[in-house]
Amino acid sequence: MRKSDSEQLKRILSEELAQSDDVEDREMKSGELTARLLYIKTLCDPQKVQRFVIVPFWDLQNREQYENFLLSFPGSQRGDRVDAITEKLLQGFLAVFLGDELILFEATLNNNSNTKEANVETAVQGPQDAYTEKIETNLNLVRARYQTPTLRVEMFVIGTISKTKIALLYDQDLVNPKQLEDLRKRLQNIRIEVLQAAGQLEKLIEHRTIRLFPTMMITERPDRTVHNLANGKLVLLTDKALYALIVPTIFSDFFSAMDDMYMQNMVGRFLQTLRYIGLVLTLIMPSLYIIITSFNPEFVRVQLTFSIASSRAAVPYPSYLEVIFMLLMMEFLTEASIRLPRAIGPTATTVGGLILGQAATQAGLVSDIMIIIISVVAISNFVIPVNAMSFAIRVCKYPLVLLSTLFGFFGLIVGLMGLVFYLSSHRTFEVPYVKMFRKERKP
Amino acid sequence: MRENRYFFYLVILNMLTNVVMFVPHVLLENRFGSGMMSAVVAVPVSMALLIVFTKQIQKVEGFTLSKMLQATFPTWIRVPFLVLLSAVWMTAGAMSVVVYTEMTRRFLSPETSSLMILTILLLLVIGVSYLESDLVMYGVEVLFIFVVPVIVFLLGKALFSKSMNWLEVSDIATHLWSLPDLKSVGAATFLFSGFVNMAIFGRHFPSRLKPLHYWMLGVMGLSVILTSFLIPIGFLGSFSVERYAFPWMSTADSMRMEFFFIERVVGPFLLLYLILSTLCTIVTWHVGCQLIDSLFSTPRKMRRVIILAVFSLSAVGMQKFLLNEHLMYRFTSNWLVIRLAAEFLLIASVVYGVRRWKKSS
Repeated sequence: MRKSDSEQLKRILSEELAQSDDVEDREMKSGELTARLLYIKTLCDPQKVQRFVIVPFWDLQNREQYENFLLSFPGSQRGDRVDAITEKLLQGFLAVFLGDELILFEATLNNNSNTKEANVETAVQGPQDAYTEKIETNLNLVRARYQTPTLRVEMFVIGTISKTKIALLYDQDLVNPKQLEDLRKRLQNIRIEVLQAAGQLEKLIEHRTIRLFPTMMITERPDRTVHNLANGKLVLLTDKALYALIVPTIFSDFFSAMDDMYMQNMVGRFLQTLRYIGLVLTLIMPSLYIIITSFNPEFVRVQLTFSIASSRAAVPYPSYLEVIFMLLMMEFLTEASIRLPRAIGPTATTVGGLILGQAATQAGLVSDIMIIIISVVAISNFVIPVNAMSFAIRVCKYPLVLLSTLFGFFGLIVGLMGLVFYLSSHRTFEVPYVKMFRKERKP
Repeated sequence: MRENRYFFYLVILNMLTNVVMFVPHVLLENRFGSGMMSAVVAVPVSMALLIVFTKQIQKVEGFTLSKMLQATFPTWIRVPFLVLLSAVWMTAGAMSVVVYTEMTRRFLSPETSSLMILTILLLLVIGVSYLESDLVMYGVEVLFIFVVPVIVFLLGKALFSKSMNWLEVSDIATHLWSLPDLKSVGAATFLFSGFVNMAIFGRHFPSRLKPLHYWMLGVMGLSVILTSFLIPIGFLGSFSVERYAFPWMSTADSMRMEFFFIERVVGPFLLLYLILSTLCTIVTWHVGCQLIDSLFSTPRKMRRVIILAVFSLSAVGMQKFLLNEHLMYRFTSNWLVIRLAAEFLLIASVVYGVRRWKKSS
């Protein structure tokens, strides 16, 4: 390789890659001998780099010897073409410039033994890796799945006490520069002492005071992250926090599981439709019960009205009390089973389920149909795949219950319209939160 | 179609709310005279207006009515003209909620006071209409996608229902050959007048309509106007149809769903029209308040809210003033004619303004 070539190569490589904060560009000099190392820290094993590249450089002191030493490892090779070298670097190779020569040394870090299986967002058929609590490992997981030189990593430190490391990832070619600038500014403006979770970071980035619906997705799946990066979104990784934040996220993103993408497209569509049906059911079922028993019993066919009325015959108070009582019991049960230690959890659900399901109806405190409705509400709420959204929807049904208690069907419909427009009035990073028929880039 | 769909939403929204705006009433009143002909004549008339308007605004990149008026008309014409236009728009939205309130009190929740119903609807409308145009539109789109298929299903159900008496319909259809009158044409052209909302929405959702789209709109409009005119006749009889206060509600109430857990069609029909008429009010008031807001140099959220509050007060006043559906009917049918005139005026000003604007720039 000629000298000018090698200079050009160095420049191109450092221009292409060095804008990311996890790229290491280091020069070593000992006597006559100089070497320059260029590699992506998160993809390379620091042990290997130290033992086989840096230490021998000081021991051998002779260029030819050192070169032969490096080339003697399996996987090592001489590089000359820029694109081939970039590709190798993105696979976890180390570029060692020795004068005009360039040697690629394999130092790939494999994190397979460190990662755990995803257990919050599970997938039936798909990658099972989840993020860990270490940001370096997480960066490695993303880098390994997104091998382009346009992927940029910027590091921030947030928290005056916790000094939490935050990595901002994006694809240089696909990202919307305005959003990027906006997010950078918001990150720089954060003033906090202790930052410990991705959700906390989300709250700090958002400006609104009243927040119900999530506008950023918290995910533990590297494959979801990579998919979103390929769609031009921004990703924030937080050190010691297990989860990644995807910015900006809109309403419909919360209704897609990664499985949808891995299945046949019709199956994926079907599953998404199911989730929206679940959304509608969990929102309106309690209100419908109140309306049909107390406001407009003539609305449904006579047989149904009779069967509801007969199952409610023993219940001594108005329907809205019944609904609120049962909804609250269901929320208590859900909360209790989430926060309890694993060993006690099943006991709580069994006791609660038995008492609510059987004893309450036999005692004439609630009707049988109410029990069915409550279980429909609970189950269809869990159909929503992303937790943050599922929790927001849980909150949403109470205003609807209130409105239908006061105004019947009219209140319910007005409440639903209000909900739709409340959602559509959001913008996250200049992206409208609700927009139908939006095209997504195929990765 | 991807970008033109917003234009279609606006037009179809108006087409479907005609039932609330007493359009079938006006036509039914003249069913043995000019009704049929007026319904048919309204299609070419309003399609001509629609085509001229859309062609003109397509000529200018990022067209807004206020910008055009500012560039081509002196202030003493521009300000009263915009105020007049927004008053017409305001009345459209106000009538749609006031009439719907009356319907709801009669058919859905007779115990709730109409002022309460109106207040809740108005609060929702104020809370939505002041938003930016694109955000309003995205919400409208979601509800629209839910509502319209069901409405189309119900209309189809009515068409193929056994209770539909086609003999009565064909009787009315023979009255085609009579001169149309202004009132009926004014009513029937309301179906298409959704396109004027593009004066505001056009900036965020520019449409590029092709001849096929115009044909689609024309056919759709003709079929909607004929269904909303003729189906009540088929169900209620050509003579007795005029005895109903809300012929469409009674028509819906005479339909039955055999295989669903809701039996009477009137229930879902009312709820769907609750959504449609509220959407109509949201859209028209959004346009109305944006027009007034555009008189000032910088747009302000707070100002739009105040404008909408004034609109709401006048809607409440209208409800106090128009006590029953007869008064509402008389008021609305006259307003429909005024609206047609205002539409002509608007389009004339757009044609003139766009030409001068292009010449000057």
